[in-house]
Amino acid sequence: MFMLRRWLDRLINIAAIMASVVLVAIVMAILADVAGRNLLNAPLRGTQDLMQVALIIIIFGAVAMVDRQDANIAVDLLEPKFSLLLNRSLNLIGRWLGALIFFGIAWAMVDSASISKLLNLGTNILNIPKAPFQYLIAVCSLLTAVSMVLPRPPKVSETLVNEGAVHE
Amino acid sequence: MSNEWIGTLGVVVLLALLLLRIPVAFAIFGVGFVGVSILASPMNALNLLASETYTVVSNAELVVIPLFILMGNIATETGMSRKLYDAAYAMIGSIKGGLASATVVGCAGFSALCGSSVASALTMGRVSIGEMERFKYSGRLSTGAVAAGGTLGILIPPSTGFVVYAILTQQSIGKLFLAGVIPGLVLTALFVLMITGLTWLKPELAPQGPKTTWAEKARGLTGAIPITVVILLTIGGIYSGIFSPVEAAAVGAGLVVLYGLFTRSLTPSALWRSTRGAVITTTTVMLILIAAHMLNPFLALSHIPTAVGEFLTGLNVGPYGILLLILLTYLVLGCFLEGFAMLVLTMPIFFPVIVGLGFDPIWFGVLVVLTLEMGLISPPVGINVFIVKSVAPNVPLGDIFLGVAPFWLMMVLAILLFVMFPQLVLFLPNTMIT
Amino acid sequence: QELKLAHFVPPAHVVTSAVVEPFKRAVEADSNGELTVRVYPGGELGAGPMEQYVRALQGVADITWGLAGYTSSQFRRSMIVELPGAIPEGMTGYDMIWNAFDTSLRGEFPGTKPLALWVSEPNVFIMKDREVRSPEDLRGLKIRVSGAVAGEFVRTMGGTPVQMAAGEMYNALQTGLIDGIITGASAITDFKLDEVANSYTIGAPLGNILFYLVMNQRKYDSLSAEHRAIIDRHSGRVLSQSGEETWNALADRTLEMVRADNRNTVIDLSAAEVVVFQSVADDFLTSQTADAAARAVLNDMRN
Ligand code: NA
Ligand code: NA
Repeated sequence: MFMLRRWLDRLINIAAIMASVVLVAIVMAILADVAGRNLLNAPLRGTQDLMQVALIIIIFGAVAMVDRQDANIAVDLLEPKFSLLLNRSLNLIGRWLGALIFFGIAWAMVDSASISKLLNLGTNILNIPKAPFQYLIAVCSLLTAVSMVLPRPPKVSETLVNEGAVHE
Repeated sequence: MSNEWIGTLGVVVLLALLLLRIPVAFAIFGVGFVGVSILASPMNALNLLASETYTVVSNAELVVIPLFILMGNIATETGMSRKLYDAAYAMIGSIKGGLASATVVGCAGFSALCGSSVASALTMGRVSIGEMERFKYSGRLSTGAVAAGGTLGILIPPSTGFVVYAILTQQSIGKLFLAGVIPGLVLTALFVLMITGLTWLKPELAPQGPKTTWAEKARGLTGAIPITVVILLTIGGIYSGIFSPVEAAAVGAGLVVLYGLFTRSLTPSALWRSTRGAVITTTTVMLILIAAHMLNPFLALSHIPTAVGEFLTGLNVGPYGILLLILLTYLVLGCFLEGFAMLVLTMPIFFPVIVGLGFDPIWFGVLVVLTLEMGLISPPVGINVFIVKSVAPNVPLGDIFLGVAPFWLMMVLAILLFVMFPQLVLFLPNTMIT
Repeated sequence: QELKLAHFVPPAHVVTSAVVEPFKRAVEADSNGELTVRVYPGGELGAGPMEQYVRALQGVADITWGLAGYTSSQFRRSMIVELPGAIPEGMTGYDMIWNAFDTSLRGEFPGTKPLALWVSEPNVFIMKDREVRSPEDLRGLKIRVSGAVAGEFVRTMGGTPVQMAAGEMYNALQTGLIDGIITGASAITDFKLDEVANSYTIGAPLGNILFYLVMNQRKYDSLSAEHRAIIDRHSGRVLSQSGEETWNALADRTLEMVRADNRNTVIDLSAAEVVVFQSVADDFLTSQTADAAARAVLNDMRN
């Protein structure tokens, strides 16, 4: 179980790194587009398309990390009023509900990807196919779902995740 | 059970789940999914889960959110935001409650750079709450000022609030941005007035700061030059047609990175931290946005939008009566829902009604964003209050909500002002775009 | 029996009077109210233009409306009708589409029954501070286009194609981010472009825009033979004709409004000026239909 958690955390970290790198890349792409359009009469072809796929990677690359860092927004106004046991149970229920939803997204996205292939869907200018990005969403959602149902690790590996981010 | 009752039950369950500390996104997702399963079919719900998620996350215009958050994060890392704050402090720090007023003005300044209230409150909170604590300001006043001042981020352009409204209602982003300028300044002034009044009544809230010399004022302003240049370049670039608002966010981020590297105030690890933080904040916000898209079909299938719309338009209370009821509905919803989610959820219901009554959609957009701002600081779901709490762990949550209350009243006053004098909102968009 | 019809634009959009209301009225009257249509406008059953076809295919809504150009990779063949100069004098766009539907286009509409397929009014130049009389005038200008093929055509004429969402056009034209837009005149109304544009050029062959109204095939098959017959009777070429003519009528009204405003320059190209554009468009059409399959589709459409 501990091994699985460690591997999962490593994957989550890699996905978040991918999201961060893509954010930097899309900044540069937009700057190149702006410069090209204004200075050379030659905009970067398909920047809109790149922005679409970049946003997908930014959001779903980081989605498991958001859970891993407990960054999901919740209303904790009543937290002090609830007993420790109730709070723990509610945490657990929240995580299981989240896992169910991400599992549902993964499932539905795989199905939707087959339709994208049937319809030959892709972005408008660069014709970047849609299906691979739907598979990416599915994989990241699945990763999040599994991470949510696995027992929370001790504090040690929490810092491991954060350190990993800084070193890489 | 009729569709309308199932819809109402869904909303009640949603509120219960929220109060039971289920993460906002999951609570909305869950209710939307189960609701569509009942009103249509589970297969439909699954299909919507995929298509709504994909629609939101592949919307190129929403790239502004990570870009502006990235820009804000880097501005903080390089100390640019703090210098902007220092300048405001040097100018009005010796006035009663001046530090809190400076914070609000700093929030307004940062808002001109950053489109998100979340990022504004987070950044300004990190910079200012510690400083005010140092000068023995009450935690209630300092956190209230930051939580309320931070909401200016979605009123003063650029604003993701206006971007989302524009996408939903097909209005011009530029017009909305311009329309937000004067209301933003008016609200800032009202906040400052409120702070001055409060500290005049209760001097113990905020000990007066030292008088600054002209040299100190000049030094403060000099320090703020880089960030002022960035703000002017990005805003100027938008209005001279060199880049779009979305691109301006990337240009702004690029400029602050250049400044950071040039002055060596930005280390590679700080750049990495900013990027990573931007990605995670973005995802947190976007999950709620996606979830709200899932709730939309559920409410549409429940026919509640039509019922509420017909109810409101059928009331014999005149156009302004209906406007008032709609804004009240927003106030109530805003107490529970995250701002953008609320926008996505309700705009299809109310926008046609408002346009049908002959109200200006740009003006209405400003009123809506103002009520969104109020929602950001209203219990139980006051996002900005939670954000401020995260940077001021010593101040109890209840105190922050109390501290925010006077600012909330100022927002009510502002709404009344803009309803009575629509020209305050429409003057700039109507004169600059004809 | 209730059919859910969903689209992503406000209820006041021309699509309502062009196809939605005519179809709803006809079907409900003809079935004595047994078969009803409930409209979900403004993206209530799913936001945005991108996923409309998928939603009909998956049955999230029974009927959806959309623009082929948003997912052009799906409609490669059908969108030949959009090419500049593709529609010959005296032919209608919907006739061309339905002429070729059974032989060449059906494969692009899997899982649905197209109820209407039609094209917009001819595209025009919508410019700010620039007058266009010949392709030469476009040199170096930034022109907003909605797809890869249209972008290629702008490049052919020497302009710089710029991609952006439809909602951004107003702002971009206002600030000078773009010098002009190539699209149908009805978009002037939809996006209030008349507030920022001041020069319009009409008569050049710049292509059209293809629309679809499709119904989930399983839903259609599940209906009684009688109800299917009712739907058949009020869809196809009949409904498409209504769509195309209503769009054209709106475009005419819009252009009248534009002409009435004396701040605007409206350039109606002379026959000689049109010829210059025509030759560029002909070359472009030839290059775009270079392979035999595309040529065959165009022939099917024209016969
Ligand atoms: Na702002
Ligand atoms: Na709230």
